[in-house]
Amino acid sequence: MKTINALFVVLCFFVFSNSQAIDLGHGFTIKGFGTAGLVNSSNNGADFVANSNVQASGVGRTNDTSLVVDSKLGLQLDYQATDRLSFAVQGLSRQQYNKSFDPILEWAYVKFKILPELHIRAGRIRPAIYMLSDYLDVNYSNPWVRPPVEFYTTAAIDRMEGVDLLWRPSIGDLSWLVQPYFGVTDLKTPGVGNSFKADNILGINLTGTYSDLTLRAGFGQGDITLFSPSLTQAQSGLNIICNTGLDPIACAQYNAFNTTRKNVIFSSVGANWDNGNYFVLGEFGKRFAKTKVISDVTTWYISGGARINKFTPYITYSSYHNDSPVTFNGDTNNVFNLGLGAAVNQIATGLLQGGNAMDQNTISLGMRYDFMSKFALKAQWDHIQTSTKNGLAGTGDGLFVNQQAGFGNSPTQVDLFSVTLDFAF
Amino acid sequence: MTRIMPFFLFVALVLTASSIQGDVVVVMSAKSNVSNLSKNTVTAIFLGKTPTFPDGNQAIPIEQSEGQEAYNEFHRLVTEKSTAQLNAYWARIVFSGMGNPPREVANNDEVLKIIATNPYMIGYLEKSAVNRTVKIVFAPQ
Repeated sequence: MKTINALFVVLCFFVFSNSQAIDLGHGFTIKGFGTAGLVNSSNNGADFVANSNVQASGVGRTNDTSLVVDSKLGLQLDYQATDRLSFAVQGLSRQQYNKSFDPILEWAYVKFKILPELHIRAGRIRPAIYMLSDYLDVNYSNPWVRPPVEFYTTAAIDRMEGVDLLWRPSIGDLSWLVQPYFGVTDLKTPGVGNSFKADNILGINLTGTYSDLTLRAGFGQGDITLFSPSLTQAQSGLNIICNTGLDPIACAQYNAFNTTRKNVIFSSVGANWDNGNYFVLGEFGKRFAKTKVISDVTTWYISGGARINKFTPYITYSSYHNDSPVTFNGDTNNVFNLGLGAAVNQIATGLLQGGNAMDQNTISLGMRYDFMSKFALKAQWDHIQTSTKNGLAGTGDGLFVNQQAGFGNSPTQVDLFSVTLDFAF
Repeated sequence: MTRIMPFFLFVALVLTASSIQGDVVVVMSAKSNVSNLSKNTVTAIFLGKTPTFPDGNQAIPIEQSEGQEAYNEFHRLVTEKSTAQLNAYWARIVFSGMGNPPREVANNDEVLKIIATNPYMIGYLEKSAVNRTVKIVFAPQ
């Protein structure tokens, strides 16, 4: 790992000191992108993170002001072997599940051009779950400081080992992209011993572009297996009660909270209109899970902005709604279960609330300033509002992590101020 | 007054016509079978959204360097994107493995030289530089 880190740093130095892609000849090129970002939070009760599936800590409780939320560096090596055959690897250094910034191999694939309009990729790729999936980490390519967290952390599959097809037929002035994908993945997540596995990742991304308008529909699904010591402990608690034979509800709940190869679906539609001077874009998505450990979710955002010379002011509203029950009330009156019903309720309620994000929405106002070619300076204010479910204590966490005890007991408002410098060469 | 009105109208028309006629034109090899392309098709090809011409043949766009007069005119009139927008757009495509920006050449002469050799290539240049090795497939208004 030390050698890889050193190599990554040396390559970054070369790419970024030149401020441009490096053509190594013989079909090899190196390109880079990155963000240096500083965020301040008004609330020290919990941490805000840009990606709760990846980042272990953020800004707020850990520090008032932090560099770790948005900062990252990416490097991509492309090799065009023949007219039809190319290879790409991309390393990305950003805060990981274990708080380190060790570079991760985000992409490593071979691409083959079957026809000019039909390409196939195989290796480590990112499944096209969202409209912006492919460049979520390249902040320079988006107007905002960061993609709306409410929407873009709903499907945790950042990369997979698999294949996808890129078919780009065009009919008159209408250009299509039909992108089916298939793969498997195994990813570490924040928290000691936590990870998840996804089998049978299967989906399709359909995009149509006509002039300034792009419409997009996506469907993705996977069979998810979760690994987490606290989850295992809760599940075995239910199993122990089930095995006493005194409370059949415990057995039903043990099955409902099973997390071995459980199907999770994410479907979404999106639109992007951009005439050069003005843009409006948004996505709407729904998540459905076959295990009660993963909540059903409705999430969406809409964003608009104007380009005035080098300045791009924008406004965004984004929303995340947990559609699953957040408490479990089984039988507590059954005298024959010797009080085990209350224990089942407590474990089940803990599982419903524990790992799942709760309701949150954000209004963001910001400005992008393209002060020189390939660099953008951005400033953004986010006003985040979490809400509780029916006023229940412990359901007001929103998408925050590292909460102090009591953070989720009432609706909370958090203001963030962010300044970032983005680049892509 | 009624007699000079038509004259003014004529002058106004000539002036308008010459001012809306852009100085940049989209060209292909004279040997190419493609005759006319729409603005949307040219935009889709130069932004890598479509890899082919309407007849199904592969399309190979040729860009000029950032900062060239023809580059500025072409993107102002055809793709309608600023340099910053184009950079952001290509960053998306490149870092998502969806493709690469078009091959880039230095100036009008280089465009002529390269286009003339390959009937699948498409480029743009200042109208005054056009010669008989290429044909105009789209003239932005």
